[in-house]
Amino acid sequence: MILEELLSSAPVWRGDTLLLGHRPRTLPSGYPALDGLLSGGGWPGAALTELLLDHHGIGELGLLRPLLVELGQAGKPVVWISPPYIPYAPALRQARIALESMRWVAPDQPGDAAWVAEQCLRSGSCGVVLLWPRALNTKMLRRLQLAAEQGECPGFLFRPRAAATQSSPVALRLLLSPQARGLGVELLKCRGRRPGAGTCLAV
Amino acid sequence: MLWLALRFPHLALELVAAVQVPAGPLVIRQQQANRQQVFDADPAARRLGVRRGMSMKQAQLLVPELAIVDRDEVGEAEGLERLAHWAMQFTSQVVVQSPRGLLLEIGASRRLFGGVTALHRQVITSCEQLGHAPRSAIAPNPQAAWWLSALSQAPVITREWELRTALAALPLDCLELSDKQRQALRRMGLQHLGECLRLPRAGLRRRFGAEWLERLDRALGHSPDPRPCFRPPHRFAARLELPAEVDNCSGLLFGLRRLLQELGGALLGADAAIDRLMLTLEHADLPPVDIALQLLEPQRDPGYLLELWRERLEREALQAPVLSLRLASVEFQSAGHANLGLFGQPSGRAEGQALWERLQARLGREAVRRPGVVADHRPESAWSLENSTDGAPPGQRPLWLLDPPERLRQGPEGPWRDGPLRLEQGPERIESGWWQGRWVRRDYFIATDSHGARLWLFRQADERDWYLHGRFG
Repeated sequence: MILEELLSSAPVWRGDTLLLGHRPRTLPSGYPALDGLLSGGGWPGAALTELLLDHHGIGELGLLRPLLVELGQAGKPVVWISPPYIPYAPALRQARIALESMRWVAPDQPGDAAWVAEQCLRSGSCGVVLLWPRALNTKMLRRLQLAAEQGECPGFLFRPRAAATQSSPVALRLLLSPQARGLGVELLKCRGRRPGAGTCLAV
Repeated sequence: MLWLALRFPHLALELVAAVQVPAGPLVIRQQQANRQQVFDADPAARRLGVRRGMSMKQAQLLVPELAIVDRDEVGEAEGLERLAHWAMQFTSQVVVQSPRGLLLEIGASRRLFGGVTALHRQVITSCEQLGHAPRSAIAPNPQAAWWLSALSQAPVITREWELRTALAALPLDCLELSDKQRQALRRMGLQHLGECLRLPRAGLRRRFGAEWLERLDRALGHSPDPRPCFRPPHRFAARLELPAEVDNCSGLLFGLRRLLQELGGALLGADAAIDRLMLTLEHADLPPVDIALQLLEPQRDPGYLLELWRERLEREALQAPVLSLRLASVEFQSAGHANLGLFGQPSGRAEGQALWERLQARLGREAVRRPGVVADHRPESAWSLENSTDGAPPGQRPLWLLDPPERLRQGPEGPWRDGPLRLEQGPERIESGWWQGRWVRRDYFIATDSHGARLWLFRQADERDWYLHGRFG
């Protein structure tokens, strides 16, 4: 009885309600195996996700392809900020990603990329923001995470695996590695889930 | 129309006192025909007998420990302009009455501020916070308000029929008369404006000129009194000379607070906010130091901005004593009064437009682009990056196309087809095909005819003839 009262009183925060009571929107990743791995059953819809990988082209865009297709169909802008290479339009079309909603932003100044990302995340008008940062400190990461929460916009950061040792305020961190059967995905950090779980996706 | 006149008789003094606490009684010195004289004296100096117009020698004899500052007319003009910025928060019509006055049209904003009395009080209080003690008056026209503001009891005249009585009681010293005119009136035995009004107009005109009589008519409300309004620029830049060298943060903030309050008034007046401010500290012999403040969201509250600057400046080590401050803003942004949808959902569309504008404003037009496909077999030529804003919708196209296009009659004011056609959108220039020998250079318009049908018209560039090329089904 006393326990009941205690639990229902305002000052007690319970871990499960923190996560479940205010359940943030999630976006299905299009890979059931991955959705099962992530809390809420998909990409966090109003937070940052870090994808840690060492080489471009191991299937990191394939991982996001279903999401991009869906957002493109909804007409939500997909912003590519300082990608390492040019997003090749014919291939995007092959993948049935709507070209009209793609936005490619390549600022000259290295510091501007983070600013652009923050503006896009915060504005709340973008479908998803993809950022290939050259360098990011924790302060900037926190700012971006906050912007994503305020604008309720998912953001994906592509960073080298070496960044795994740094702490990060983002909601979800995934380690990506190429494997014989596809793309290996390992949870490094996920709100509400134990790290270490992994799966292999055929992207 | 209701005008509030603010007269700053001690503007020079107040501008100095706003940024420094003088060591002793303060006077402003002015050079007048190779004689240095007292231009203005603060209350402490006045108590000791220093008067306006007194020679400096005499003043220094009276008060040996006098603090003396030279008069800076450019600085006063700048100060007045900053006050005009500040006044924009009360009304959109501010008139700068050089050299030491402002006229505010408050008839339109009295309801917003809860009546004339409340507004008047608010203006005066806000003024006092800036360190100014203006004389004020309210009258139905700017000229009368300005003349009445010379009185110390702050008259408030809101009705036309009270105006004549109030003006009649004005002493002649309050009017802007030349010394010669004032002497002439005094020799005629006149003390107040009311006595002048009883004189025959023709005589007044002959003696004092048509210009003064015109001003009198304006004050009485007999003739209109249009004034050029103060148009604030959509960015803020102001410089504040610190009277003494400042070597600590709190001293800087003291001066900065003033600049921020003026900025706040200007922002409120323009219904704008800013997200970036640049402060320049000017030193005596070192190059100026720029300190930027970048905000997460556009703001306009001077108190909040001052707090941010306090945080920012406390981290900054001053290399040398600072002589003056310069505060500059980027282009004002319109303040974010977002309309919500009926059920509280944010309107994402306009927000999205603003986002691309903001990105392009900072990074350049070319920075934001859209990948596109080009019909080409060569892989490196099969893509393009298009400008994200132009070409996004490639212009509306009609569902019915006329081939060949129908030539239209020329009406008196444009194309004609069973009546005049009203152009609604356009032009959209289409220019192509020169390599095929059919060079098309046309300006397309969307028009509505008298039956309400929407038509697609074009006009050959450099020609006058109109053609109908399609109908929107």
